[in-house]
Amino acid sequence: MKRIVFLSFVLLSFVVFFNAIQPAFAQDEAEDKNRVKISALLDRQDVVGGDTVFVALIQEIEDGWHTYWHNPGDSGTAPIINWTLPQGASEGRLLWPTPHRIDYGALVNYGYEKRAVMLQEITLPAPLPEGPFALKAIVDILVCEEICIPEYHEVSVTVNGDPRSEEEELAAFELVSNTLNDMPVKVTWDADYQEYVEDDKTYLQIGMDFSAPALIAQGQQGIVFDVLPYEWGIVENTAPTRIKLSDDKKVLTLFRERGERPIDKLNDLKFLITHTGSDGTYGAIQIEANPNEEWKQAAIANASQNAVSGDVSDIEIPIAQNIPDTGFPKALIFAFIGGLILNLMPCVFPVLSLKALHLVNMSDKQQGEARLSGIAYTAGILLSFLALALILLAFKGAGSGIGWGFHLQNPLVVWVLAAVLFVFGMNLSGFFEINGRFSGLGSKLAEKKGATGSFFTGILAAVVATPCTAPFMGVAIGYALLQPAPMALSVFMILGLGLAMPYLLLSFAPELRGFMPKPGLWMQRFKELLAFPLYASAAWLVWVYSHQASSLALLYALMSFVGLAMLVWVFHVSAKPRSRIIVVLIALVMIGFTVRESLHGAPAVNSAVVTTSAESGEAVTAYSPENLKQALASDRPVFVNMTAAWCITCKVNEKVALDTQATHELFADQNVLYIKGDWTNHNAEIAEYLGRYGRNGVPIYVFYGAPDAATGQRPDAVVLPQILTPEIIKNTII
Amino acid sequence: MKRYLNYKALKSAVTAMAVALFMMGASQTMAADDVKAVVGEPAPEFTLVDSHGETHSLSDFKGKTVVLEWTNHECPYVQKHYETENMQTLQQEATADGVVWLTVNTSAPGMQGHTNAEEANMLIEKIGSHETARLLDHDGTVGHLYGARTTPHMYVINGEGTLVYAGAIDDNPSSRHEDAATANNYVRAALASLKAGEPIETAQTQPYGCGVKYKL
Repeated sequence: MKRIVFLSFVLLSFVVFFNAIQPAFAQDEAEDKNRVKISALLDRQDVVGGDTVFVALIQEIEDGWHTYWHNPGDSGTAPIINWTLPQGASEGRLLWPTPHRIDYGALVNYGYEKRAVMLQEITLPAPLPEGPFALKAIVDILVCEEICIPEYHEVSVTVNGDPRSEEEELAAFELVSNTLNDMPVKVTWDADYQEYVEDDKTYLQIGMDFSAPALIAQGQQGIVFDVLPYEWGIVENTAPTRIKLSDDKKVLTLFRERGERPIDKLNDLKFLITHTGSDGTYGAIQIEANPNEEWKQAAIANASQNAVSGDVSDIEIPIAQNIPDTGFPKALIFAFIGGLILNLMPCVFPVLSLKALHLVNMSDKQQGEARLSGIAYTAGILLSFLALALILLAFKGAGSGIGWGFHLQNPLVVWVLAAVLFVFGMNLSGFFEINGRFSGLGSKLAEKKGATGSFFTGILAAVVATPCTAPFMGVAIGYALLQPAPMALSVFMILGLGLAMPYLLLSFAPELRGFMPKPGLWMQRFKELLAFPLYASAAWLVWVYSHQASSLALLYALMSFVGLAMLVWVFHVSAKPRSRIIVVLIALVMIGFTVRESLHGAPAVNSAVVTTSAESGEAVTAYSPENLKQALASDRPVFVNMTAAWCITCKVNEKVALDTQATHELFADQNVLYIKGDWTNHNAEIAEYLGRYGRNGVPIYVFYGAPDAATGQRPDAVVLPQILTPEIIKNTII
Repeated sequence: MKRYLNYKALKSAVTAMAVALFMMGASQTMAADDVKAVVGEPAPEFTLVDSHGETHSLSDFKGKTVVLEWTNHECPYVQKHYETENMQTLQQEATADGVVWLTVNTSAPGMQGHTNAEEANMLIEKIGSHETARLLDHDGTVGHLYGARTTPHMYVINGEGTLVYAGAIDDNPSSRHEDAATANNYVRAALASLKAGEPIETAQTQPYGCGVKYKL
């Protein structure tokens, strides 16, 4: 019995299996039932020879199925319509109604569901033939739900046939005129497109002179725009559209990730801009955009350069000859000097000064404690640099494009740093002091606490020092990261040693402390004074943060500082657990919001550094490898500036030397193309560029001279010093 | 001795910072893995098991021209090219010339065109396909890696491992079987150009057909 059951089960599974395989190549399995019904309707009967009429092609699509637009998106195919027309008649435009995005998981299509009416323009023969005649079309249409079925339909309308009733005539007229009304509105607003690179992704950017902002003017809030190109491969179909409306609401800029197809011949492109109102109204504008002139010139130059070299992707970026050949001993010296200089940076200086004041307070009999503190401080710094170096090397090994100062590319880290500096500043201002708390605990423990404290001060010093890539340090670190790990680590260690050195010296040499003024009230005042560089550093970090996160996140971040201040205050004035708990909760909520917003609140369109300069009237091209290659393919001199909001050296150089009237004029006179890269956020392409010049941090300034008229060759690129003056720029360029 | 810093607070701030660093690190590593197939650039490496249980990596075929054909035997557009013997003829020509022809089945379980190894082998026999191997990609990894969107979707990789063609099989997106014979076959043209050492005239076209039935 058991065996029979088993055998029949086996037999049954075979039957099921072969049945499953069978329909594989069965002819037109679904021919018995069409998923889409297509009918045709002539707009009017009252015609004369030479008239242009509309034939409506009406698709009635079964629920759950869809047909395709002119550009079908990721898969599918547009309907193919073949007309058979009498002698003398001709086909005009085929009008497609506004399609919808149809989302199928990994694929996105553009098409129609339920019902769609296309309009075919046909010019009738003149004179009109005698008697009734047909306008016939064969429509090959693909209809899909999860699976796809091609269908073949034949439709026709009769001209000069039996007259229609008045109702029929009216209904036909209404159908066609309503369909026309719902068609995308063709507008002739100025529009241009170009490619835009941000965070390793290339976007299609369409700028549109929004000269009839009817949609906005009608007070419609929350309109959602989407860009649908008429051609394939122009955009990534699964990508969303981001928009930016200028403050005067006159220029609408749309961004959508680029598709895989190079834009052929840089011709004009046709797009639908669809808009969905909050009330569900859906419509579209049809625009024609021409390539942005400046971008096109560079692209053409690039293309012709490629044609000459015969290679599609490689324009060599000239390598600079004046990169100092940094040997290992030299790198160590640079690292040490760089570390020393870091002590003077506004965020590090107060930390160091405080430690120094601490030492002034120590009498000679506390020499042992002073030494211990110096060693602990040094250890804190060295360990932080070791950790940073290991993280950097690990990422480097993983092929990720990050570099020196990378931790400031994360808004959360920037906020934490700002908060630490702010609280530290409040401490120096005297809003709270942690003194005397441990005084009764015996000297041994205090000593230990002192050492631990110094250790953490060392960590703080190392962390806040990193944004200020001082001169020498860029070279040293760039060199370090190109070396095998042991050499790289020693460069980092020496750098840390340089940073720790002043305090270490003071703690080990009481004689040096003798040069410092005697303790007194001035110390209290000086300490309070030191709070201000800290506040300033915090303010600057908040500004950096504002480039990395949304404006809402900025508000939370500032509010979290209020919360921190309250926290400090309540612990200062009240010992009641209840009031303390309430304030702690408030502060925690603000901090929680900040952390959440920091993690996912990147601004939609951020290129703050580039925009700021553009406002000052200077023509700046955003850096991308393509842009640089295009620029180098032209015959203009090129100046590249890699910067970041968190890089003080960069900001100072821009203020003093680059964003000055004189330099602007110099660039204009010499026809210099100014390319600026913003490394505020992670950007592998910029990291790669830095690596090309042996660097691993910003700033870097590189000048590529104009090509020689005779040979067409550019001279070697020149890397400028990390501290710029207008004279240095002028001497390099001329 | 005075102490000006709240070391405890400092300590927790440093810890928070370390955590943030690592979170950032994780997100960056993910971004670095985002490789895509781009015409003119090295074709992304992959490893898949075929219908006979053998493992193939793209790098195994270094020095040989490789064709990737995304397939779904229940898709009418795939049927158009198989029932007219169009695809088999091309496969035969190519493999006779030393080209490695890999068909890829990305249809997820329960989706149209999904075949397990056994079904795949029966199918190959039934339709007389001349492919080198049929790769099973049911979780869609390689499909997504190559951006395969339709069946058929064709890719040609040269001996240096560069992706030299991506797109449709031919220039007539019609579903009518009779059109297969008259269309200009892009893959045939690309293979001929490679053989002659000439540049490929049409390197990228819009693929047409049914959507690849990815795991949802």
